[in-house]
Amino acid sequence: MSLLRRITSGLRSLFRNELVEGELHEELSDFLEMAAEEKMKHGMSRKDALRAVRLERGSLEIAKEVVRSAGWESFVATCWQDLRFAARILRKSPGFTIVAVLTTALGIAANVTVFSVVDALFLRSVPAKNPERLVRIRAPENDGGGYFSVPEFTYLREHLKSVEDLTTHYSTAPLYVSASGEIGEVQGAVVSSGYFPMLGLRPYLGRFFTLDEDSVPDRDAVAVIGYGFWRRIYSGDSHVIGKTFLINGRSFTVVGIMPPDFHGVEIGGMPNEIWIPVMMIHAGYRHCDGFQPSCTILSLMGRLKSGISMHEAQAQIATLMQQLRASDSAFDQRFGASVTPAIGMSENREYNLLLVRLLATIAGVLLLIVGANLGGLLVARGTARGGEIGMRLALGAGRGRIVRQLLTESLLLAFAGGAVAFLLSTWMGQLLVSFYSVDDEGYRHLFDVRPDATVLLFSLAVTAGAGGLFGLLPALQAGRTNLNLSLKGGGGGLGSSRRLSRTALAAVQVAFSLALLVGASLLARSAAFIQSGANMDLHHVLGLRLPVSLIHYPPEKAYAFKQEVVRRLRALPGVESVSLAKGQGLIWKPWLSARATLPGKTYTKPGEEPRIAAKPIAPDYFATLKIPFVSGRDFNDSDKPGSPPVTIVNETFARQITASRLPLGQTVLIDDKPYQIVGLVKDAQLRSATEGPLPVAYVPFWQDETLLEARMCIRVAGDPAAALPMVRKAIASIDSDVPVTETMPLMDQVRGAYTDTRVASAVLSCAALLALILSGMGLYGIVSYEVGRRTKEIGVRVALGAQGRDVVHLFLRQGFGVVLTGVIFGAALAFATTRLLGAWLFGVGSADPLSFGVAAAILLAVTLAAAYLPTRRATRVDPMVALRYE
Amino acid sequence: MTDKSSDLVQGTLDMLILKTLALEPMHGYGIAVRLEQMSKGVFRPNAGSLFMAIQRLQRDGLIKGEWKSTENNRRAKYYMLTDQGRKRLNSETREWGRQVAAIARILEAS
Repeated sequence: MSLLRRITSGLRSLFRNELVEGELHEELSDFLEMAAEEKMKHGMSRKDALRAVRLERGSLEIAKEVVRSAGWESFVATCWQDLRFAARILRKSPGFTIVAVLTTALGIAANVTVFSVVDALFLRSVPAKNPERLVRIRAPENDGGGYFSVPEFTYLREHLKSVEDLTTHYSTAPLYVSASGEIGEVQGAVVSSGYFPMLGLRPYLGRFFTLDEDSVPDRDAVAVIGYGFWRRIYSGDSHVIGKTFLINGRSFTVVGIMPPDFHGVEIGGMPNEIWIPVMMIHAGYRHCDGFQPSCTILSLMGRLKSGISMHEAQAQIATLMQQLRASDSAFDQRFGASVTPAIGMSENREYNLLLVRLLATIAGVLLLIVGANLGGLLVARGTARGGEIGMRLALGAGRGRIVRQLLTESLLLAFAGGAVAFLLSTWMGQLLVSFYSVDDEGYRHLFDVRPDATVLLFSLAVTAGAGGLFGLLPALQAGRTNLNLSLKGGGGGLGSSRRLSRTALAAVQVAFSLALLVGASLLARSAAFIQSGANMDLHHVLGLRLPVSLIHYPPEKAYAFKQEVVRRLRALPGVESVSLAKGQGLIWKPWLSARATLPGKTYTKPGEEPRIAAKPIAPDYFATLKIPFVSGRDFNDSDKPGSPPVTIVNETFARQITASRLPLGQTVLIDDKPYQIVGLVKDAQLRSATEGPLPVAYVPFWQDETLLEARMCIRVAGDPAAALPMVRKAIASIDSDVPVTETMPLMDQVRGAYTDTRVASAVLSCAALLALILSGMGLYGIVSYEVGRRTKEIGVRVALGAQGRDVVHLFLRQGFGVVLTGVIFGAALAFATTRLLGAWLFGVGSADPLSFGVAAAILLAVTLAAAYLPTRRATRVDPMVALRYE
Repeated sequence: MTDKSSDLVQGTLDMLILKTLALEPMHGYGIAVRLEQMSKGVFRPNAGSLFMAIQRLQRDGLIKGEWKSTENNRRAKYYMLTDQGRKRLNSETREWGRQVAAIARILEAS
């Protein structure tokens, strides 16, 4: 009640100012008048009485001021006054204002952009109507990423009491679809019927799955299609319900259409366009039989019952899984379960956090540099405005008010910058995620980085923080203005402390800029290394995948088919060589899937044997990818089923496993099977500075008749993308039903696989460039100010016979001192921090002297040039004019 | 400029104004004169502090003001206690008495 009255009364004073002022004036002047009359009754003259009253009771204006300042509204009113004054001041120097607003905008935008990515990837919950208490369930201590099998899911759904709506989904099912005459690969999800109600979804048309469709394997071939897919393939035809289309060769009936904005539950994942029941998992997954207890590919989600903690649910799941295993040993041994809120991305969380942390650090450092720069500019302005501030102090302004006024000015600058930054960051966020919109296998990913309320709040906080950061020091310094000195003119007033803080701020900028520049050049070298590769050349090579198991080819048919494909492709015009290999990422993602040892060597513990990557490849693999042989031979047609097993190893394998530089002819045991080493090749991997090369043993692809899947690599004379139609046609002429997927020039694949380094490099380069410009500006400002301040001194020096060169040296020496201090601290800073970049560095160490040298040289050149420019003005000083100055 | 009221213990001016108004509604100068009389010239608040306190009391809803004509036909704003103000005066008077007694006991003990 009282608070309300205080507010309304304050508002009345604010908005009906004249009335309130009038009343106050009347009351106070009556008061003083009455007091004077009292005195006049005792015989004083009116003039004397008024004077006596003023002495006793205070003057009218001061009393008014005291009463006014008591209410909260006076604070608002003076803020508003300060704001208008600040706007007027800033309008008077548009050059300064534009530069200040733009640099602040860039500094803040970098931070807001990174935060909007953090928000989009880690802080938002899955797209459900009511995401409270929704949880993800995993079995993290098992191999294979903590997924569950269909029988495990059905058991848990029946017995798990602590979680409602227990639902399963496999959201990364590439489905080869033939619908309405269109053939292509579509991202699908295999889901249980509870998926839709759990998320609070309503079909746009038709219906979702029923519980009955969750019960019998391979019976109900029904599908829900995405809104986009419906518009694209069926042109939005509402009679589509009941129509059929083919998924991986099997006919499915459309029963419903998803609402437009729904793309699946994986944040930052591949957007789903088709949903099929979990009982149809055979159509959606091919690497193991989806109904087997050990085929663990499903993710689980559900809603915690109220009153149940995650910990309790975890314990209950672990117990149930143990019971299941005890009843049937076909189930995997489970060592526990994790229940986490369904917020943020679920895969690769730690790694992505690492990258985001790097970007956040860069953005933070950039904001510090911007702050130091603006702080320097404001200190300089404070010096220039010494006279004005001195005058206001002399007229009775409190020092606190001066500080507040100047802080208002910096906050106004910051908020103008913040507004620009918010707009800028929506665009920068889109740009940043566009790097990730296609992954290294050519699949589309969806990132929604549109700013929400959290991002807006963050921007406001950063903006206010930035304004305070760069405004406080100059404002406090101005508050300490020495009245006498500043009014005497010459601005010499608080010279030394201001000069010192400006110099320190400039040195800080130089130091941070150097750290950014070193990081940028390290990453630029890494990005270049990835492009050029080491011991390999992926330009002009086309990659593709033939998932014959999708259409259920038996092994012998698959073997013959792939041999025929290689034969036909080799004969195509412009094709130089063709090979194939098993495994993800043709060469750059070796996976330590096998054990290797020398015969006769025994290990007591099972985990002790060295792990290596064993990669089945066809002949011409090394020729196609241009990986050089050290010695020995390539695989050839005589390495076929039944012939003695042979292997080609890389140099790291030779060093680590055989402990010999030329192990040709030796026998090694790979997964307990003896292989004779027939060739030695160079290490050809893209591994980061922290990872180091891996031992790889290549084995003949054709020696193993059971291998179904393969990725092909085709070296052509011209553009690999242009050769694709011809290649597709040749494969279709053998069997047009075989899907041809993940078709990409290998360089695009590499670019996709190492996006993080490219993004980090691009972001850091931009930040370093901005930092460089700001450092130059800072130095230019300092030297320029010094030249102006010491014009008279220069005049005396020139009059006494100093040459232009001497004058230049005088000022350059000062600039050089600042830069050198900055470079020394910056180098130390860089040395201490660049190891954080390790995971994104390729072909270069974190203490690479060349990168340090180049960065320091660039920084020295730019800042000294910036320091040199204003000194030329000094050489043109005419001693006669200079001495008459003042 | 002498400001006798600043010698007052913080917050007591408010209480004294409430006390003055407990007898009858008064305008600003009246309050000042009455305070001076009652304190035998010890408290002589200046205009700024007096009206600041009046504004504060008004906003807290302890007193309310009304424009009326004075005995010599001038317009002036008369202030009077609200119910809330009366209650506050009672409680503050009690509290004040308690504190003064306590302080006196301490000072006598030493």
